[in-house]
Amino acid sequence: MISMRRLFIQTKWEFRLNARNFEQALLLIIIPVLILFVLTNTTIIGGQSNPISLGFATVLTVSTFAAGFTSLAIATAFERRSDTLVFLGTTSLTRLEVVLAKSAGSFLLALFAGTFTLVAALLLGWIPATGALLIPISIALGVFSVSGFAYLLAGTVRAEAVLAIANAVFLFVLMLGGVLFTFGTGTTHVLEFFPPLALKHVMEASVATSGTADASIISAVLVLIGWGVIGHVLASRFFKWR
Amino acid sequence: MPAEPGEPSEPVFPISCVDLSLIYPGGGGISGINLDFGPATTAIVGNNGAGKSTLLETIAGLRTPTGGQITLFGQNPGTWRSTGAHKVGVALQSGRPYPSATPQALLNYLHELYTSSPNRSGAPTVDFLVEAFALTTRTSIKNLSGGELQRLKCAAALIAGAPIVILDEPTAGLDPQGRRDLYEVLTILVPAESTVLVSTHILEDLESINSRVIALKDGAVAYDSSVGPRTSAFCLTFTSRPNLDLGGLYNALPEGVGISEKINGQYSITSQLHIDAAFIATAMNFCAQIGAEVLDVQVRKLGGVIAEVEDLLLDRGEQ
Repeated sequence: MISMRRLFIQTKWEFRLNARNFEQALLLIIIPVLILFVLTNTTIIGGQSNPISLGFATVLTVSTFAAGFTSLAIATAFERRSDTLVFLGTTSLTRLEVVLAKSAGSFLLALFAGTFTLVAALLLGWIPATGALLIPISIALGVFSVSGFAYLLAGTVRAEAVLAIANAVFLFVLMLGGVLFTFGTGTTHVLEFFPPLALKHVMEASVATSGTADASIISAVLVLIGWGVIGHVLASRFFKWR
Repeated sequence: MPAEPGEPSEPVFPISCVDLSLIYPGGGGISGINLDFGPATTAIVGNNGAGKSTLLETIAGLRTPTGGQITLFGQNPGTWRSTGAHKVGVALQSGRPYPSATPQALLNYLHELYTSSPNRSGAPTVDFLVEAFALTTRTSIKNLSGGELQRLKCAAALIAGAPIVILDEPTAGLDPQGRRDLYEVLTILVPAESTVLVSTHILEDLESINSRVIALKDGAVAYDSSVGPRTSAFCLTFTSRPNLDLGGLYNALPEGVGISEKINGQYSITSQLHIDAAFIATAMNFCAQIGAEVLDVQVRKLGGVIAEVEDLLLDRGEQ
């Protein structure tokens, strides 16, 4: 049984704890805004600068991935180490409520970060279309697609290693996941089957269009849902609470 | 099995363990625990590794038994959890929950979590707990001293007003005065109708708890004061050089004594019989014969339970 009241209180508490953390602010707000500025105002050798809408979609992908994977994995791993998760086991919260509140807290964090980049994008000349209303849904989908893997990592590896791995994966995804840089057609087709690029496509559709979905967007959504299911099933199988 | 007509139904205990076992893959744990706990305070004593935390965490529903059964008010701990009823307030021995939060913030959050809980009416307020446990409100939990952390955990265990309260080694790391103070606060704060289990490895704590006592040894119940006879006993303590021949001393003394070297060079002899001048002379003669100097000779009459438990848990100087 899930109590909406307990879930609400727990989500609020999770969000409050996370939002006060300075590293989170760096990861979720300062880095994305800097990336947005660089993407839209500089040219990479031999290329050209991105239009603001594409830059904004890229940056939303980055902050959603940072909140839904990197910071969720690190926070959960340290909570496991300090026996905070066992402590939660002594409260009236069920395990499902604990996990749902964590994911919801990450979603709120990504939404919070997205608001900052949205303001920055508007200042840089982005003109919103009706598709922008879908941004929160895209963020939720993005968090869901990777949060299971955040739990899988946090629940199986010791905290210091999670800190290193989660940050390395973040950089790896930024550089090689098709988020910041585009690759040849063959590589891109492979990357489209993984959450980072799929999420970027979904974000581009919500930021740059009036919310129209073609077949490629639908397949990107399915990719995100598929990875989300795989990650959460694996996490529920292997997660160790202490 | 249907009850015979007219036969009174069995009482439903707040906590009931039937042949309860939890054996860890690498060995150790608890086995064959048969205990019922009524609405009173019970102290669980035992050396480190005797199974105290395992037993308490199993009762709290944090560990799944490998055998037997644990019920709270006749139901599985997991069943209570799935219905959202909060039956057990727990202070765990290990861990430092939410290190970046302040004690005040943690208690406020827990208070909110339990606001509409059915036990709420009798539960203490955050301000009351902060004052009673002398908690610092501004320091982060990661900077609390060991004693402050224990007090915060106790406050967190009581905040829901749950009918069962489990405190695992709440006095660990406290000095004797701190231990007495903590028990004094707990005696005042815990409602009389609660079922309280408190574990300790410090036998002197039993003087402050004054309750039913259960001793665990190697994962099994070695003593239960509600079953076993209560006899008073005497204790002779003295200091001498380390590693005295305890076997020889045992043979020199009357039958039925327990001898142990508590820490380096500090000896304690317990006896059910009166320790009189002749008894002391025998012990001192033995030391004199082997040329061991003796200091701080003291004879005390022990409370019955402590003596029995001490006798059980300490290694005897017999072959």
